[in-house]
Amino acid sequence: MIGLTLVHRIKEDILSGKATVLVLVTVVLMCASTALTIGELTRRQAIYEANAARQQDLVTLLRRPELLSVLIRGVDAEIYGGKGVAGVNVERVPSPAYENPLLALFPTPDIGFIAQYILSLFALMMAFDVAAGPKERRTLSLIFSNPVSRIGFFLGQCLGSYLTLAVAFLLGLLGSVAILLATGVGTLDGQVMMRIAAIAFVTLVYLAVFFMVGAMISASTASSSRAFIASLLTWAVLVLVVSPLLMLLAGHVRRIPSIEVVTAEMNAARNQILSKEKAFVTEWPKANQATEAIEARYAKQVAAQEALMKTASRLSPAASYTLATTALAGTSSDGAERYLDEVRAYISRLRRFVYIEQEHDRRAAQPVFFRRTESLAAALSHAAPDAALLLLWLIGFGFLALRRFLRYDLR
Amino acid sequence: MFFTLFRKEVLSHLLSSRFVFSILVGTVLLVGSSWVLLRDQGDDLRSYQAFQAEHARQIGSYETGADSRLDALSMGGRIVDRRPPELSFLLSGVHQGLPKSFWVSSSDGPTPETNLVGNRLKELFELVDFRFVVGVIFSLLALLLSYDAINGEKQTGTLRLMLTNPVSIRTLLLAKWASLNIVLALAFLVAFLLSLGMALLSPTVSLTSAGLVRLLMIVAVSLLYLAVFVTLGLLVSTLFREPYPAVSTALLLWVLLIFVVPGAAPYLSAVGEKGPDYVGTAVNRQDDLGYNYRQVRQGYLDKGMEWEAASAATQKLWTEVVEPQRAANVSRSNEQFLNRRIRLVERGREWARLSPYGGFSLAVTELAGVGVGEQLRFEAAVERYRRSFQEFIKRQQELGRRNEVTLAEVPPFQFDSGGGRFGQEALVDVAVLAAFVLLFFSAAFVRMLRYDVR
Repeated sequence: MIGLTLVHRIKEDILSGKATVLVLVTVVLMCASTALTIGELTRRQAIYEANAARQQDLVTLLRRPELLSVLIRGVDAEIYGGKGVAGVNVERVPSPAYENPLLALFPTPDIGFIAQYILSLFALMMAFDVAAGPKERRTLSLIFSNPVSRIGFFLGQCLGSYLTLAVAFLLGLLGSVAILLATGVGTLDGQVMMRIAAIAFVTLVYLAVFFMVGAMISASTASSSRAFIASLLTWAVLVLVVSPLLMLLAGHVRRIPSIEVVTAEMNAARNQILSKEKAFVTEWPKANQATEAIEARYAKQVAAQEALMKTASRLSPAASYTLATTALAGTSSDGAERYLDEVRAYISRLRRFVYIEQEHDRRAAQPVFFRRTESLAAALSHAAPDAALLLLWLIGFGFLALRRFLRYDLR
Repeated sequence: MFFTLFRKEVLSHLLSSRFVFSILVGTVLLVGSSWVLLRDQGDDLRSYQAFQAEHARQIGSYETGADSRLDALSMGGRIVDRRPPELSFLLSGVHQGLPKSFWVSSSDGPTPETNLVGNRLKELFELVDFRFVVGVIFSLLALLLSYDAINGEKQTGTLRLMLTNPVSIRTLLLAKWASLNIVLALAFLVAFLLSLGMALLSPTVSLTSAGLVRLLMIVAVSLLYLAVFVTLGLLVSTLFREPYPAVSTALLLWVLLIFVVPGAAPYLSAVGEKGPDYVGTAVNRQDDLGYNYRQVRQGYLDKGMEWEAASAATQKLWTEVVEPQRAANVSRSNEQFLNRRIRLVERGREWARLSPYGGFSLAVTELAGVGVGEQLRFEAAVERYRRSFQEFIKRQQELGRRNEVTLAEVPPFQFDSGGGRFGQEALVDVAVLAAFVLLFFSAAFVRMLRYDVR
């Protein structure tokens, strides 16, 4: 029974032109977005290579751009690109938004963004008439005059439409990966492929959540146009209102000083220690310790604020989706924090070398910055909680939708 | 006739649940965001004042180990700050994300004055402010109010009935358009005035008359922007016979116009451009042009000069040849960096204007003084200041005032954010938005003439 309804539903979607538009728009958008972001990645890679080669005598801490930032940009471009000059001065390279200021005004429409905002909307557009549609056409009571189970019919309807959506997304992803391969911007080894597969899985679950929200609303209203408006408003609340508003308020609850204030504090601490005449020769290690302590304290404050904001935002599946996919792509804010921790530890080590060890032993070897690349297993484990949360949402909404449909008034 | 229709339309919208939803969501978001942004602005203002005092006192940096006051000042440089814009409690724009303080010295900079990374989630998620609420949420509400203006009545059969009365199609369309605009403007103004009232009660905000004028202009641009989406919805409703295809088309257009086109604009503007490269510029600035102080001095010593004479000769070479060349090199690198950014932004603006949301964002951020153009003007002012600082140091060196120089003599940094050029970019955006309204309305009118009312 499920199979029959499913095939019927798919045919219906194809005949109404809905499926064609959906697949076309999705594939075109996703491919165009990848082509654009690849251009940006190539530029960033070129800058990275040029500067890494240029600064051989300096300690280079520039961060190599992640390949998967093409699909999920995350904070990849914002993260530390620093250069340690002879171990004394560390200069942070500002984010690309400093070079191209319009980036600070508009979000990047990468594939994660398209899935989060656009495909979730498409999911609702596919789902809003699974129950209310046939009811409006008066076919529902006719169908159930045959020996048809409600569960079978409902699941068939849902799966049919959902399959169209999933196929559209997978085709788009395939096109993007093909573009990625064709431009040869990086090598897609097994590990990267696994990450892409995991991103695809999380995206499909996320879309299923919204699909089930739509189906639930459809099984709660009598007319499909009302179901549509209601699902749209629900979408707006879930995606546009809940997570931004909660994050705003959570960030407000745990306020942290601005970077300008902390920078001023660091400068003041350093200057106080070095203010004695010619003190800079002997007192530098102490001054560095003081500024490093302030920096570490600030990093802790930032981490605490981010943690609270993330917890609050998880009330919306859209936020969970962003957190899970950025973790999988290696562009998450947590990953950035781990990287920054390594950089801070290295700089502190390098300063000890320059001011203390080198003074005692001229032949001491300079420490080398070694960036541990995150393994696939680690990425999966970082993404797991949010992926599990999405699955929970799916089960919850799926159950509610089914329950509503079992009690649906067929007339 | 127009007024009868108009009144009927307005009343029916006011009683609809969509209107109530609009006011509710708009108010919650606007009040919530301005509450948070107000606190941010207060913090910004306080730290700005503290910095002003701190940076005015500071002479040189202790990192240099300079021999004289002038050397310390020359190499230690100055830090200049940007004052938080008056209306930043309403819009965050690029003010939150881009550097507000720069360090400059006679031979280096401007360098953003911080090595810290703040909260990165702000890059990951949309920021809620006036621009987001009006640009994203209210435009969606505008489409939801208007997508069934014509075809909804057709479906219920009232359109045919109405046109049996002596009503011209033009009057009908105008009445619908005007009433939709009024209703949406009402929802927006209620939400906006509530959040503004809260902001004005707070002690940190004191609006000047110029600020008030800008605020009014922002409201006017917002109303024009909402009119674009109302008209688009009206056009879509005349394109289809049934509400469902109309609303899905409207949504598809909304998604493209709000999220895709403006987001792609900065990337499209970078295509084929030799973009600005910050790291390259910073490295270029510190380029010693092939000279090495120690090697040069060693060369003199090898020629049999005494230590004193060799040092003096090296110093002479430095002040006469190396330093001027380096100064010219720094100015050239900075100019190139700034010009490339300006070009990137100008091209990006043209792409972004293809979408009403892009044009709206550019206009309101520019009017509030938190726009891209204002940021670039600030940075151009910083670079001009660096040059005047460089000139000042050079003159003092020529006068030989190595330890007599005082901080009071150093030229002060000035950036007049209320200058004449403020917000002039917005004019083009407003014109483009008005053109959108006209275009959509005339298309709707033409469509309506041929609309099958049965």
